[in-house]
Amino acid sequence: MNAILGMTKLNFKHSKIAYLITGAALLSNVISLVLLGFGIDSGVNDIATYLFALPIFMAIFIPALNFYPFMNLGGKRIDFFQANIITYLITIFIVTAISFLVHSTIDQFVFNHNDYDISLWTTFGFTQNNNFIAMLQMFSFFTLLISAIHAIVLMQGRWYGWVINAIIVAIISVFTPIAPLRAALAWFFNLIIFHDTAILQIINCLILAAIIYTASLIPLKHKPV
Amino acid sequence: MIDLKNVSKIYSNTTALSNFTIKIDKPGIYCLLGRNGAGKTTLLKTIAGHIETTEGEVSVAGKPVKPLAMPDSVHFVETAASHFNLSLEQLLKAAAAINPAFDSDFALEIAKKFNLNLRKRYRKLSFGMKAMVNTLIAMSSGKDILILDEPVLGFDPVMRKTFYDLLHESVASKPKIVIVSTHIIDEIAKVAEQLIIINHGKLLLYSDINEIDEKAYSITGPAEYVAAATEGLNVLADTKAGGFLSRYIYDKRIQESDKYSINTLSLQDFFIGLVGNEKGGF
Repeated sequence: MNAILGMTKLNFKHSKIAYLITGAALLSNVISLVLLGFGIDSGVNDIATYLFALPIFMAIFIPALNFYPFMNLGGKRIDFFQANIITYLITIFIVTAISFLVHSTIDQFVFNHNDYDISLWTTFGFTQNNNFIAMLQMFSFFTLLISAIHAIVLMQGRWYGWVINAIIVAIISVFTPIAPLRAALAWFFNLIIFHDTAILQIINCLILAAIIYTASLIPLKHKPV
Repeated sequence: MIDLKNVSKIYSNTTALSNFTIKIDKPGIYCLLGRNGAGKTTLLKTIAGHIETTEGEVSVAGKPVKPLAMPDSVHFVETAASHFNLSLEQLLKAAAAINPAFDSDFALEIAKKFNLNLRKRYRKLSFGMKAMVNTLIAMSSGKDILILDEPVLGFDPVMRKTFYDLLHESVASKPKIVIVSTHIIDEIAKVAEQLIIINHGKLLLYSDINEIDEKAYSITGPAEYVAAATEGLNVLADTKAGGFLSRYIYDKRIQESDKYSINTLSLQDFFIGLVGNEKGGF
């Protein structure tokens, strides 16, 4: 357990690129808003949404950059697997809480309830539920998303990674124009984001996240040192 | 402690390990020799649990070894290992954070012996210094089995001497199995106790170094006398120059004679004789 917690701490310490990109995105967003003098007359992503860049970039850079140093310091693959999910869950939890706070306060002030606020919270419709459920919904959705990104990054360099990449490109380019496939995509998004019953959306996301994250053991097992 | 049974590892069309069986249970320094591409790194990574075998079983301390069940008692390090770009001081702290058995005091002591600047960042170090840091982390890991893949690559002669002294000291102070793969054969021969030679993914020789000192020799003299004296012996290689013949032998000693000269083979000559002529096998 000590090794896992040690890796978790080091993951937070060595996610500088993710911090920098998120910080730069946030800063540019704030500067844009200030330059506009809050006179926003077209859709703009709100500050709360940009915060979610952090777990996304951590899920890209941790498996890509931290794996080799950990192995060379005497770490074990299974510890890396466990430490990463702890890192992601803590990050998503904190980011979700801060994002919700920012969405409820700063963003409300900046956008002054106009229609130009593009926010994940409202787009996903989570804020229709009570605050705790809304945060749980966002937490679950990002746990799924980050698990998928983590698994895809680990797969790069393996044949099945290329297959997954091709499938993702196919989904984006083929599913959207073809009506029945678009309906399938809509069904999937309904399952993980727009479900009428919040608790089912949460359960769907967490089950899928558990399956995908467990499946990431396969590329982790094959990742060379 | 380390047990490999009929282990094979095949990458697409290349066989890196072929039906490899070995048991290593006595603490000490083991020298792993083999030509480039012989399968040394694959063997070492297999023991460390970084590579899954195609066939066969690997176990360390009685537990099966797999990438998702890497052994607790093994620390593997290769020369070109990458690290977080931290100062050496922070890097040692990072090593201690993920390995509770890490001996920070010992690490600092070695760093001092090698004049390593604790404040210098890893990427700013020379190739040799990076290799030294990797070795330092392995030697301070507190593990019972250290696997060092080409640890002295990039070391100057003084650093190599210090490294071998430290290795010897480290094993003497806390008995452990240290497997060192290297191409600088005669230097490791001074500290190694056991020799493992691998060729084309197969175990060619697993022997006590002292036994090689006793059994590996060369005979030089007129061809007819040398041929007669070495009849029935295990000849590793021979070279002919005019009417003279030199034969490399790995077998029982023959009697001295004024018709030919007998010289003990260095480990390097023995190794070259063994794998250089592709004869192999005893």
